[in-house]
Amino acid sequence: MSLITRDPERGARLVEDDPWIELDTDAPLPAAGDVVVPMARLAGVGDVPGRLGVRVDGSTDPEALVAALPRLSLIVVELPKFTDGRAYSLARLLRDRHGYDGSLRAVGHVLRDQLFFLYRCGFDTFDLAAGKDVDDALKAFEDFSITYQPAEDHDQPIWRRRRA
Amino acid sequence: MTLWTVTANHLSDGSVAYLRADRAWTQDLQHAWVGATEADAAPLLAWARGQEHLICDPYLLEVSRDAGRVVPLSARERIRAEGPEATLARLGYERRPELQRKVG
Amino acid sequence: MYQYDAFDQRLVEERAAQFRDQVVRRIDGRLTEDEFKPLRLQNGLYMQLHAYMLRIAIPYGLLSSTQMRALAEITREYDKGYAHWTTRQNLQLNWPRLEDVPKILEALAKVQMHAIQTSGNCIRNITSDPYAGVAADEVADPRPYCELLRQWSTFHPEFAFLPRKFKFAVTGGAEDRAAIAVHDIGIRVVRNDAGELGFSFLVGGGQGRTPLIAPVIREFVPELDLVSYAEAVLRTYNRLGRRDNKYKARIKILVKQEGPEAFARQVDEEHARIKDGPLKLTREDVDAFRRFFRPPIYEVLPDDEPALAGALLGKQRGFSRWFAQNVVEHRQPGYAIVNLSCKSKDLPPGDVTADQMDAVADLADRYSFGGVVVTHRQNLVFTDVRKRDLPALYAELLEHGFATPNFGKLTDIICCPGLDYCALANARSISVAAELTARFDELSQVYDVGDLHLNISGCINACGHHHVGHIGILGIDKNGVEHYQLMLGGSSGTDASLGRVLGRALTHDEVAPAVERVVLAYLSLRATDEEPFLETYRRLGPMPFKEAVYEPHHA
Repeated sequence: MSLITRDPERGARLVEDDPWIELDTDAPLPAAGDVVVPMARLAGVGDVPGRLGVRVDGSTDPEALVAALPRLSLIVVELPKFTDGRAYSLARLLRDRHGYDGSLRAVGHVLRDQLFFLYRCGFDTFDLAAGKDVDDALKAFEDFSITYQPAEDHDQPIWRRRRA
Repeated sequence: MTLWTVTANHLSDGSVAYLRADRAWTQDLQHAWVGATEADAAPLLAWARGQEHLICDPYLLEVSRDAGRVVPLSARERIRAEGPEATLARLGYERRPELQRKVG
Repeated sequence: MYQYDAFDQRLVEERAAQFRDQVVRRIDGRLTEDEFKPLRLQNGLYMQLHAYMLRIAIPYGLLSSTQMRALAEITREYDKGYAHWTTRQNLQLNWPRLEDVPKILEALAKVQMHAIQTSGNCIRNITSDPYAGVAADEVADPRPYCELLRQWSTFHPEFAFLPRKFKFAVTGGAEDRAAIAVHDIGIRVVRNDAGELGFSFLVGGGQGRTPLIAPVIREFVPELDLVSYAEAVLRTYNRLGRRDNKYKARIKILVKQEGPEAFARQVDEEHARIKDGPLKLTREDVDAFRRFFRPPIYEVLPDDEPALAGALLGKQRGFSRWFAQNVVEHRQPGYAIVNLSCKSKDLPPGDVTADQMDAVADLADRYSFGGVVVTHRQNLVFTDVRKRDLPALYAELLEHGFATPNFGKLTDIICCPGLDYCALANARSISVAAELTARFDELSQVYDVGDLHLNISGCINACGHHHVGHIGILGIDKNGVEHYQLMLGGSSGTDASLGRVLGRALTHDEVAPAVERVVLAYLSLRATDEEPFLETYRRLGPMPFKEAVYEPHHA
């Protein structure tokens, strides 16, 4: 698997070292480092050594994350199948409605041709499905230079932008 | 008696593909490999699934023999083997001309 | 009509380039067929029985003559010289090669067209009233709103992977000519008591496996909330629609399960939180779209055109018959709306040759301000023809095969491609339509059968709108053998209703005689010569028709 990221300043690139340590439901907290816990463990997790992340899926109600948002630096959203579009709405609600400004990571069945849309919905890191060409994927963000809707990359619809 | 063969559509133009005994693909059902049981056909289907560079979505097809000709059991597969009857004929197109060339 | 600016133009060009790259990646193996499938589908490219099929979007059915000529050229160059108008006001090519599809998209982009979202689990082409802009009963022209929704829904990043496909229809007329009650979202332009424009939102209608008439979930959405309200509906559906079973994934199932009131409450809650955001329209936004749909500059003409009156009194019975059947009242004096029938004995319903397309483009330029509309009944419309030109236009339509005087009548059959082409079909539909056309061509010469919509689908997916045909025919598969269910009493109009199955399924050869018995029974049962089939059926119920079909010797 290859982790890639994109931000407006530095563009799209491969992430060489991922600092995040994935913990399952029972694994003890490490002495140091940034940890990602499953949603079920989030409420019970106390102080962590570094930064805190949570792993959810598209069915998660964003309201259930609201209380924890100030503590979170990473939300990992699992896409069981790349055709499962709930993650897109979840991301927009976290960003738009709840003001989450930490990292949002798409994992699971993440393919090149979704990246443009995922980015527009507020994801900034993408764990590309196994066996997929990274260089190819990095180009995906340039598929379109035109977008019509307000989303996380533009705050106005095309009909207002074209008059500006 | 139900017999079995393997079919798919060609990647390049979507045309109907049947698997031949020599593991090449043909548009002509009469040239297709035909097996007596589903179990005979299963390994060929598994092989065909690895042929994505040439064909799409292979599956097993039930056929029978009628006076030496291979005939699909379902209406759908008969039409698939012969081409659409409606529009083409009326517009002066032959049904599946590539087949008729071979036959002639 | 709407004209692309540099933004729109670049978008369709980038789309063509993107698809070119996707095709390359499929061919060289970087994409598997399973990965490629949803991508090609979002570009309207299907794998059918014998070939690929490409569905080209015609937003709300509106074409310029330039676009029509380009479609003719594409049909000739990359296909076998004929194509098919669909019930979603689109055009389908039946035989494109995979490697040619990027070239077709590039050719389309040159005339401001595309195949974006003509399939896949996303927001599909938005359909509308074919008489939009000229209908006498119109509250407001729906097309500016259709175009707004088209832009909002094009590559909407949040709604590219919905639980299932999603279809909008918008109508501005008092009479529903867009079948809005059988769409995922049906929008009717209305005015409230204060005289303000707005929209009545119907959500959760549809045909297919579970046919449902959409309930109204909000009577009045203010005009400037159109897009934000649509976004609220889509977001609610995207989050809550079922994804575990594709037969239960359409929004109609969600609305039915939650109940229209509860569903509407959830949408309203979502809407309350976004309605004053960036999707809130301004007057200026709407006006910018309206300007594209200003009426053409009509000549000042008398409404009672002497040349027309003369032609109607003349010896040419064909013209009078065509005028009575296919020509509709225009709101501008001296003008008429002309329906071009794509239902003749010569071609399958909705099929059109490249030469015919060129002819239509030419006629549109000479008779109707260079515009033509594709209808959900698979015909074409010239919306702005001078009445004085009708005799000349009739002669030319006759020559090109568009003058069958059957608009809205028995042989104006809606018909999907069926098992002759379609990978989903269970039974042929074109051959059934051909049989019925042959049989009824004569009958309808003898009797005035009146308005009678006959709709045929080759499978339960209902592309041929069989549920809302006055007479509907559904192809089913019984152990590999084609069978057909006959259903009566459907309507896609303002009084929308779903047809009911009459009795046991029929074999292919039984269908036409059975439909004939239904029609003959109607002719003997109607209360007056003017009572249309649907009224007779609603008055008497299925029994007399059932007897006529299944026990003809008793009747």
